[in-house]
Amino acid sequence: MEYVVEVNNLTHYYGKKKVHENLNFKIKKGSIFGLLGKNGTGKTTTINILNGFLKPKAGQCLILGEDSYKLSPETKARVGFLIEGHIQYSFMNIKQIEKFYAPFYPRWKKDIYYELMSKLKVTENQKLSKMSCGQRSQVALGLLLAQDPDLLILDDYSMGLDAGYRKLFLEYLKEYGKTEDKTIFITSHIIQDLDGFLDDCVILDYGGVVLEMPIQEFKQNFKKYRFVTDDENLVVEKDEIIKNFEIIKNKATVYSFEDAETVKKQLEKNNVPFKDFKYEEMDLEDAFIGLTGKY
Amino acid sequence: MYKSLAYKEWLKVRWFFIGALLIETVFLFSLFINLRALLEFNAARDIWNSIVVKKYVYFNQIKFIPLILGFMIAVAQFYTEIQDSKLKLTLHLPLKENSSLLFMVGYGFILLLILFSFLVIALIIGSSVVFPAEIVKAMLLTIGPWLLAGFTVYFVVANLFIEPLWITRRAVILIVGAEFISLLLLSKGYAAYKNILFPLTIITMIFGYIILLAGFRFKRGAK
Repeated sequence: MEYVVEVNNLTHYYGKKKVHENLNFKIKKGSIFGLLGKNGTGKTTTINILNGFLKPKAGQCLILGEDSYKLSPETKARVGFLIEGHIQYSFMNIKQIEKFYAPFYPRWKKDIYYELMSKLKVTENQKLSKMSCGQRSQVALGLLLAQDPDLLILDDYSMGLDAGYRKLFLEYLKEYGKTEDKTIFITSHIIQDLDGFLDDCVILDYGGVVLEMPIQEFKQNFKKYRFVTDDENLVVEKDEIIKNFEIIKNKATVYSFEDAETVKKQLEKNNVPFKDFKYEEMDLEDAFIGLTGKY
Repeated sequence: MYKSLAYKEWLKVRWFFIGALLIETVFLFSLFINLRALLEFNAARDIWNSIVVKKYVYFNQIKFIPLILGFMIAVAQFYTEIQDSKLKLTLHLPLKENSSLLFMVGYGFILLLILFSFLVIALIIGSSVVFPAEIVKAMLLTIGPWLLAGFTVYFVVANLFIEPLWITRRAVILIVGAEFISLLLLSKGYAAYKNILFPLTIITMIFGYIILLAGFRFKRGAK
């Protein structure tokens, strides 16, 4: 198996605040990989380390086989990087920015960029700073696709975008990723958009990695069960079977990778009073919240 | 690739550069009008006496111009770069990070060199018409430290923008830079620093070098 990104025992602290401790994951070539987590769980920190903009306290990140902190110019040319908020040189217009970037990348595909730009209602001389957030996201995407990188690292592509632009962004990416056998590493806080888009994911929580598995496996195996209880102050501790527990008045919810019978047995073992126990379907966002909690 | 980097820098600074040229022209124009008035209304002996004996610096009004130009070019180049961490885009380009940063600083340095050359050449031409070579030479040795102050301001302001360590490093750079600049602008007579111009130039260039260290800390993610 060929890996494009390898994160080995990554540990990082901001002062005394732990961000990651022994974080490990690998990204397969040609896959679309999502790093998911609530705000403040270290997604952008991970992206910064992967792009060489932060030196981790310990551990190692390999990008296309090179230490991410010491990427050679040749490897940097193979990595497309989208900064959170679609940051680009806003003092340039769409023509100037293409002219600027083109000489840096040997596989530059001007046509892809201008094809995307032709769909925007902007003039060639309009500066990026005068464009809407959605339009700027398309310019940033056009530049990334024109670069023709082997690995795309996208830090919260969804920031500031409405539903239409988010969908458009992902559709282009999916098409690009699949037809060109590219690897995409993406973070986002809008989980429902990524349903059906990701191949693999790592879910981060404040304590570290809570899950690493193919997204389909997660969606199929992670289940939500609801039941009614007489005890409105009921507390069920998390364990190997019960991954999360919520209660509103007398309606309780548990999340688990196990089947209904196993969960019921576990509740009985913990002396939890329950009735009307039933399985409920979830989409990716519900599953994400179920795993990481609402707070 | 470096041609492309130069293109980016030009897009950032072009209006500032033109503005800087206009400022220089206005000040030079004003200086030469004053000089002409001085020559019209005073006897040659009095002018000679005030310049040679009383150390009247007839071009004193341009003293702070290099400072203003250095500040303008640094802001034009580096404020844009640190807004929304755009410097990350530059450092992610397929070039060695130090080379990109050095190129940007070198570009600003050369622009200042052009602006200062325009100022100096205009002063030499304008002064040579009415003053002997000795006074023109003394003028050049007098404005030398002012030009160094302009370069230092450029380096210090660029450094303040790139440096990620707010309290410690920025404060040190600001204090040391301000002290050095005030030293360069301290003298009131002619050619007071002629014997130490070389070491002053070396110190100025050191301010340029420490931008690379700030860039290194920016890349390391120092906070």
